[in-house]
Amino acid sequence: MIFTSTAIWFFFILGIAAVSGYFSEKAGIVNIAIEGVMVAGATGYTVSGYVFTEKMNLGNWAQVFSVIIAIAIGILGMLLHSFVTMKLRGNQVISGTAINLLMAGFATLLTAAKMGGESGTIKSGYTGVNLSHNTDNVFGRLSVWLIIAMLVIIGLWFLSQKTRWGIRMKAVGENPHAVSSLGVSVQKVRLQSLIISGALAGFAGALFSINTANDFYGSVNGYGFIALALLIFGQWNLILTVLASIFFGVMVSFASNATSLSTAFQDVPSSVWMMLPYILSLLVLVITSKNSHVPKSLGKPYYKTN
Amino acid sequence: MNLKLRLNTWTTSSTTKAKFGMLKQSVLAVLFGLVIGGIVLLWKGVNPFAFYSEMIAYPFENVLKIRSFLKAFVIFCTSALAIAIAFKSGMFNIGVAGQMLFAQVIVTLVAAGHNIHWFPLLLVAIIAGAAVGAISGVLKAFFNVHEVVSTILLNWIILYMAKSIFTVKSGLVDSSTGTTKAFTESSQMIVKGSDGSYIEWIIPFAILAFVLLGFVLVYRYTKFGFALKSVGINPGTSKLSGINTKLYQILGITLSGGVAGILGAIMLLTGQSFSVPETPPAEGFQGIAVALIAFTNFAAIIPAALTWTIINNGSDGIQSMTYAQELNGGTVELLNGLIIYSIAISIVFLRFKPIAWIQYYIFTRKSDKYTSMLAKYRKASNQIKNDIKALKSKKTESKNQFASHKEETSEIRAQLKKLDKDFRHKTISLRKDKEAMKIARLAYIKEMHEIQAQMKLIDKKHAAQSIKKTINELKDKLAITKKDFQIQVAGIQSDYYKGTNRDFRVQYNAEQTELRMKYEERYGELAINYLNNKDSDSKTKFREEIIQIKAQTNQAHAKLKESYLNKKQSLKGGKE
Repeated sequence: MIFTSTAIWFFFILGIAAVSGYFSEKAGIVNIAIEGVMVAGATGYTVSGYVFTEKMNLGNWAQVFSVIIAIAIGILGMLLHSFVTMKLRGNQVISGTAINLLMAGFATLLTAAKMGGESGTIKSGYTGVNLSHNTDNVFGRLSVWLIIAMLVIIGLWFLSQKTRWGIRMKAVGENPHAVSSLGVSVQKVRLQSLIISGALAGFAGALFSINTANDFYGSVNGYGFIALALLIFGQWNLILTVLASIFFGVMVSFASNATSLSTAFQDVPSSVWMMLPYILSLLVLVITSKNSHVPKSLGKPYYKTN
Repeated sequence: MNLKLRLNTWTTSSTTKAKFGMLKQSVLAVLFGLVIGGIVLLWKGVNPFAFYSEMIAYPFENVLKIRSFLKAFVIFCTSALAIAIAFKSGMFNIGVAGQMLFAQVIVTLVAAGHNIHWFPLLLVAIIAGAAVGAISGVLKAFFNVHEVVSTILLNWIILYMAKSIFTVKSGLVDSSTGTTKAFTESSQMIVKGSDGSYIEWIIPFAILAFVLLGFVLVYRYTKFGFALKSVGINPGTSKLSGINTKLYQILGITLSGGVAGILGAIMLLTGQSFSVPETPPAEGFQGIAVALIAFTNFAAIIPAALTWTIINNGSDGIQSMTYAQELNGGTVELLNGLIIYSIAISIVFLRFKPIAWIQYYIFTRKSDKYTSMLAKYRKASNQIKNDIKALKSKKTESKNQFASHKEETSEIRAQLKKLDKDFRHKTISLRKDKEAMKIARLAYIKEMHEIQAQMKLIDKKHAAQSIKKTINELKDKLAITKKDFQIQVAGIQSDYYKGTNRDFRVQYNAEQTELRMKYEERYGELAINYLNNKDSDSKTKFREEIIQIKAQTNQAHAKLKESYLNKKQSLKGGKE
């Protein structure tokens, strides 16, 4: 069975994170900071979860607030990025790297405080909210949050492809001066898309910590970087990016379960299977990247000219 | 050549200025990061001064610690060098971790259990690392695969490859220790000390010094090094100047991979054996930070790596010793992140000139112009402020009135309602008689207007609103006056700099840029003509013209510089 719940979760976490990257890179801002912002979101979710369940006894429904907190923290984290990239017009890669380290440091520092579990992990104390109690069916075990994530992806597809704002956002990444000449504020559009990006990255972080159930140890396992790779893999096209996330989720799920699927697979060490998704991604990139369309002013700071 | 003039030229050159600006930026960024980190430490209940002083003292406590400090320093330096080389050619090499891991895998396969000297192993490591780097370069140049993605993917591929090679099943790994067979003594990069202990840092240090010096010389004095740099600075211009940009980009990341291979060899061969890590080794990523602090300048990597090693080594030591309860590895990561974020915002620190600010402040406050301006401004603004105050009291008055009249107005409203009701009652009976209805309606409207007029008289809300509007207008006026004043004060600033070196320099820089822009524009035109023209005669013509323009520009530039230096000299003479 390829569509295990691992694959589905993997797809949604990576998909949301990749769409987060889409919104910032389409507007022309390189976003390596997704990983760090995801860590920040996951930290916000787990720490607030610990406070709500252990200290305030609010019960399981408080996870709605925790997700909102994760999103808010994600937006704040991305505002740090926007301060460097838009206000100071600094190096976008450096800023992203800094935010990654900063957030990882904060998260790891917080895990020392012995929240819930042993030292080194934080326990949110929430249990999953599933569609039905029928645990035999994979789709019955589907979390409500995943449905919301799916709706979010569809909504964002509509926002970016079918609305005036979406066209502006994409145009800002291609030729900001042309957009500016039509009386649209470039910085405003970029800030808006960075805020969306931050909210999504925070949400992806929250999804990550919902999936790992309880133990958060200050890292999201490099999912942010993989999401970035998927965005490039999807050639900065929203639908292709989402498809790439599905492909990658299925591949990783297959790889991590390969040895238990068939006896024929058991002779090969599991690390070879784990290597497979990465090699396939690289191969697909080699084949498809020749025609990929990079946003033209990606990574270039915008100076308004009179 | 006159030494004084030479020194003068050096200090006034824009490159020197830029370099010192960068130095200032990185020093202030590190300090800023440490200050913010100190605030976080305070929040955690740790005295930051004690923490930092212990952090600096820790690596130098005894000989063993100094040795491990030096080894860590060499590792950070090499990693930063690898990343800086890629940066110089415009490539962001996140794959140092994978490249060094690949080098380690190959070296282990070659050396484990065999008696081979470390030097050929080092060469093997360089080739292995460079090969991985070259893969990313080729993918970027010919397949348009972004190097950030390909290196990230390669990191994981190499990690899992290493895991699948070094298994207990294959017999390469000892099942009890989880490591490979030990290297022989000649394979290891160690020197025996006089007391019989092994010193790990000397050979890596020598290798690093040799490599670093080599790269500095190559990038500074050779055509090859210049091409590597120019590809990173401006690929378009490089291409027009006849540099094979794709080739040099590949070479850049290949060299970077080679240095990553050296890093792998150093880390592997100072130890006894190899064990596969769980994630791509962190040493490959930490170089990014050091290279950024150094602004990818090779010479600056040394102090940057020194700072970095003190922060990492020192605070690593502290959490294992004194404050173990509150802190963990996150502290170091946090400090690192804060410092890099400060580097990202370091352009702010370039504008940080406290001495100049104070000088300027004193100058403006002393000048007569300023005092008269200030008096004028104060008078004008005070007047407006008084007006606003008066209007505000009026506004509150009318508001109070409105509140007291509320009862009256509600009465009138009741009247109005009653009138309405009466009129409706009346009209029900008069429905058929149109004439009577008309009269009744007119009477009703008249009465209603009367009541409404009465109400308007009482209703002072409108008055309050109009007062508010004027207040806002006055506030705007106040802001404009303030802005005018600030502009006037800024006028003093140009007085302040008139006839000083800075004034001359600003002029000089402006003229210089203008000259360069002109030259570049003309050069671009000619270069395009040159490339488009297939006729060899006109080609030589264009080339001659280009050379001519170059010479002219150089001449004009020399003249400009001379006049600037003369002006500067005269300034000095006047002072004496």
